[in-house]
Amino acid sequence: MRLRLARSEVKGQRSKVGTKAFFLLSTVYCLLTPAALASAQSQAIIGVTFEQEGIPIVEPVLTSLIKGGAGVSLSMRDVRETITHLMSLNRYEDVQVYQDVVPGGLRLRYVLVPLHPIDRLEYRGALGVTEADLRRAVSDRFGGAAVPARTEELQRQLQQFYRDLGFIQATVTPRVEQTHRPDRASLVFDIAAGPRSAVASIDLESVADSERDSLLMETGLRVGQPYDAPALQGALDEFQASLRARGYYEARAVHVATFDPAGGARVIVTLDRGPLVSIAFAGDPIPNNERQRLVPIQSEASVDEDLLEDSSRAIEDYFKARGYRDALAEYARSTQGDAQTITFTVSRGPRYLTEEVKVSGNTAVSTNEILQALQLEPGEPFVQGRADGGLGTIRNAYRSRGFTRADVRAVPGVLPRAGSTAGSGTGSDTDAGSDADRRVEIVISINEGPRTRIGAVVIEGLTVLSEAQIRALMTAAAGRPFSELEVATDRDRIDLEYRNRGYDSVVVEPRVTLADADTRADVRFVITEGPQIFVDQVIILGNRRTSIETISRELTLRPGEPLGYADLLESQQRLSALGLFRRIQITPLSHPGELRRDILVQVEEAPPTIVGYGGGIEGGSRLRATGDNGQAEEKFEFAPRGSFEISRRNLFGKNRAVTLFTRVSLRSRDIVFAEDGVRLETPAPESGYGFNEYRVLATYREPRIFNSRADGLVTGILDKAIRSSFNFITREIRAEAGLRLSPKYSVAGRYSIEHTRLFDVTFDEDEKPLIDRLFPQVRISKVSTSLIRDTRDDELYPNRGTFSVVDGELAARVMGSEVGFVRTFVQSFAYLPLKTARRTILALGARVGAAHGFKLNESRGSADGEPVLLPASERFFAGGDTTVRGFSLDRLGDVGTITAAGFPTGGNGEVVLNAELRVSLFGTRAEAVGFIDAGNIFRRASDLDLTNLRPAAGVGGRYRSPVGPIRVDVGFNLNRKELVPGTLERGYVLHISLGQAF
Amino acid sequence: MNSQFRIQNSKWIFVFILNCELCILNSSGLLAAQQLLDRVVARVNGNAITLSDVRAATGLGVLDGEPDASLRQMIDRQILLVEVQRFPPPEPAAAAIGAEAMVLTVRAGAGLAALMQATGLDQGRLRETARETLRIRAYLDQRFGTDVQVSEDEVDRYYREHPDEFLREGLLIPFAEAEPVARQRAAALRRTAIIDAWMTDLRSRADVAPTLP
Repeated sequence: MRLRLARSEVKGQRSKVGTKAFFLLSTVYCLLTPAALASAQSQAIIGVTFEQEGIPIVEPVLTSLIKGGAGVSLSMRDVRETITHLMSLNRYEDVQVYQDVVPGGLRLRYVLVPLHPIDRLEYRGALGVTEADLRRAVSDRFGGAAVPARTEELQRQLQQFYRDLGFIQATVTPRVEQTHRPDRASLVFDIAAGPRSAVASIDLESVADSERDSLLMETGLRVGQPYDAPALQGALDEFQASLRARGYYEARAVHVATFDPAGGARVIVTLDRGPLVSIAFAGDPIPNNERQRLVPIQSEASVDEDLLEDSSRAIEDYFKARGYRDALAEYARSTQGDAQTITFTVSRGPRYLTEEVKVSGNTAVSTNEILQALQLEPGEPFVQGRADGGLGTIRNAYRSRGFTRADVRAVPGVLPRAGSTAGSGTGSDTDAGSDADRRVEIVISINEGPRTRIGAVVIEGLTVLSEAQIRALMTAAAGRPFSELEVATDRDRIDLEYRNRGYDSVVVEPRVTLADADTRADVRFVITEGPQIFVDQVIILGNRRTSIETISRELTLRPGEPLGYADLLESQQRLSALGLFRRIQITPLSHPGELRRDILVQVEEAPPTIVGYGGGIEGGSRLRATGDNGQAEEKFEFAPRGSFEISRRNLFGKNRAVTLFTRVSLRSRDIVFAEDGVRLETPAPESGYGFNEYRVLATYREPRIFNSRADGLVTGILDKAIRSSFNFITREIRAEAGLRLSPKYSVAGRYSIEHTRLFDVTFDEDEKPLIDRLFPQVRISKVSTSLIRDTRDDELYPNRGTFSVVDGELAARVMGSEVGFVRTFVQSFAYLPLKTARRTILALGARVGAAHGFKLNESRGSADGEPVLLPASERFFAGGDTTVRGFSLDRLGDVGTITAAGFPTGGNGEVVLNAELRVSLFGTRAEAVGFIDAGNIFRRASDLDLTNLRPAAGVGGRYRSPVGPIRVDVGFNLNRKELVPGTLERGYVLHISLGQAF
Repeated sequence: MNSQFRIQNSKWIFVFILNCELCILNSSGLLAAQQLLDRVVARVNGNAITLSDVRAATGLGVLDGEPDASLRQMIDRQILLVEVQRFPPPEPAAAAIGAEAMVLTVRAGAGLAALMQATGLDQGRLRETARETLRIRAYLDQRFGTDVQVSEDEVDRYYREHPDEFLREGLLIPFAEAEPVARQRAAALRRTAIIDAWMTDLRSRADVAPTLP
């Protein structure tokens, strides 16, 4: 029994003393308890105190672990539970509970004896060697950490260490020294090394006279030197290695020492050179560059039988993998005097090439599937191992379809060589003398046997869950093909369901009975539920800044509730998702004889402040109005840039976070010309440079705002940038709150106010709509809400489910907006798996948007009957890789929403419909896609018309990359129009992008 | 030898006197002012064993009741339970647990109520103790079997080394007649020896820390 030395006593003494003490304590306890407790348990507790090493202590975590505190009657059950909880903290070696009778009742006193973990090893006394040598001797065997439970082993190790160095009288005595505040301990070894033995005599056994001097010289062994076994054996090993490097692969050099009473060491060195070994190859040649790998005798410096057998096998495998299925490699030793030759004789035989694979007897599994499993291609070498692997896959395919007795065999038949009249054989070629390639026809002969269907599924042993609940988890059902894999999966699901409800010792045993000539399988699931385990106390440790509430909120394990496996995992994941901790460990702690577990949540907090910075230089051509009369010229410019980010997480222990990100570029400003070509601003070249581009982004995240379940985020943005024909400054403040209502539904609310000011403008009026599209030059203050329903099984590659979003926005002057409008956008997508041989998904999408602008006192230029258009940035635009793919980005529209110059103006209404068929290729690595899109942009919301949609169709491909699907689509405009006089719209558009279209 | 006897004797006299004093103090109410209710007596793989745990187990007959052995037995039981948890045997049936709980109740006898009050034992823990006992038993049966094969030599040796078990009217019964019983007992002895050796190994790997000085 490994005993931790908590005091300085050694184990044997301690054990006896402990037993007597326990006996005494039990006696006292027996005598006192019944009488005293009987009266005490009728009295109320008036207070509970904690005491550690004679000092009263007050800690909230201790108080929270008390069961049955002040005001209740004394219960031994409560006392015991409190002890167990306190011990769960893993801080105490012992907890003793005393009752003090005081006027008015009882006072309970918990005396906490802290653990004194050993964190240091110390060596004291006459060491004889350096302390570093001792530490190395211990760490080589036990690692760097102190291992108090292995004190006896440590002691033996040290004693052996001294003996190996010739300190044959050395004594090593361990003891523990405790220190307090902080509670620590050192494991101290008191050492008396004693005198060290010197080499008194040297006997060399089996050492040739010619070798004696070189052996003594190379090992440095001489009479009178201090005895050092590790050093001597190290030197002998080197000598042995040098012999093996010269071909004496069986050479051995060892030593033993005996010590005389006077302390002298008699050293006996034995050397066995063994024969001089050489390796030879006979028969068919092995490529020179493969010999060392296949026969690693030289690198291993050994010729033991295992290595030789492995080498033979490696040679055979090497040839078999290349189609030489009859390859044989044998080795033989021949000894002549002191020399030994090991000869590997290789007979690779003829090479077999796959000519054809025929499949017979299959009806339930297609020939294609069988051929894919076999991986035998015509013209390629026939590898028996690969064929055997394929047969296993085919058998499994049959079993999963209910053919439990399916017999699948491969019969390779060797075809006669061209010009030969011999018939085909089924084994090795009879003409073994010839090395010409042979053609093999492989016949896969399948006897499917009866198909086994499930007759009845019976579930026994249920007391907690209903049969309906269990059956809802299962795929096995009467009439389905019987599959052992499916039954095993069902067993695992049932097992997990119980474990998620706290039944951690549940046993689910499926028993299958075959009947009716193996065509029917009755499956019986026998369930032994076992007891349900509950959470007793949740103990949170290690949090210094993070509040208990913040951690508790994320725990789905709660006191009194079943200890479920899924809850354990989810709690761990939710705590990790907070991003506050470097390490999280959730451990259920069992109580002897109890069906409850304390849950110990240990966290290690991550640093709350994160600082990031970066720098770089941007080089590129930019348009500058530096030509005569302000003509644009391309100029190559460098712009140094730097960024700085600082985040403070877990503010006030509530997982709030604030982040400030800044980025600044040093570049010259544009030179601005008036229409007459006169420079409006002529900064000197050196002063043109400045921090003219910058971005400041500040965010504040508040989880669970106003004690609700919603998370809040406030963002402020200040952005200034230089563009070719204009510069801009954008200011925006945004506040948003998101709430997940259920796994399917979530809702978000948002308020934002933003404004962009353009300056140094040199663009034409025609370009203005494009710029307005991105930068609203009016102040927009708006509120918006979103309701999201998401049942997709995968966000990137959905196989089934739907995704719907309803957005609504309102901007009004009363909110500080310069324009007012109301806008709504509804989008819904559905994904339906089709029953086809390949994974095929039909994806459908519909998007409808409508907006209405409020009239201003100074109307935004709307003539009578004309709609009040929204700012360009708020209008609807469509066309491009995610909407209607027969059109370029934003180019979808009609006469009212595309100018005569061809610029899209956007509109107050939008309809986009999509249908896409996604068929998987090459497993699921790639997809081929065919799609039909239709949609339009309408000037007014009231113009929305489903009969006036512009159609497009196309094809595409997807590749599943680690960063998401890489997408290539070609969309064809099925109804080209001449919206710009004299110019017909493009017939097709190529899109290359990342992510699905919808 | 004589002096050793005196030392042993004086120790027991000391214990006797101490117990007498404690009885007197207890009856006079002097010690009741400050009384130890419970404490940790050992930690096994991080789990605490309390004095009340040992008392409850002893009172229920789970341990053999000898004070100097009960702590060691309790530690062994805890080590075994950890092993049982690692490789769980089939879960005992509810009826079997009920029957075992009844056995424990009967063993505790009339003192059960007092034992429950003194140690905080309740029906749930009593049942769980019964379940643990059955699980340990099932684990040992599963691991070591219930019927150990022994050689003829071992049977013969058992018969020769335990003659007092094979007496009839003071005379040793012939081996041929005693052989079935001797075989059964030799097998039981062998099984116990195997389990003891395994337990020794388990103890050496367990993290056990008695807390009594």
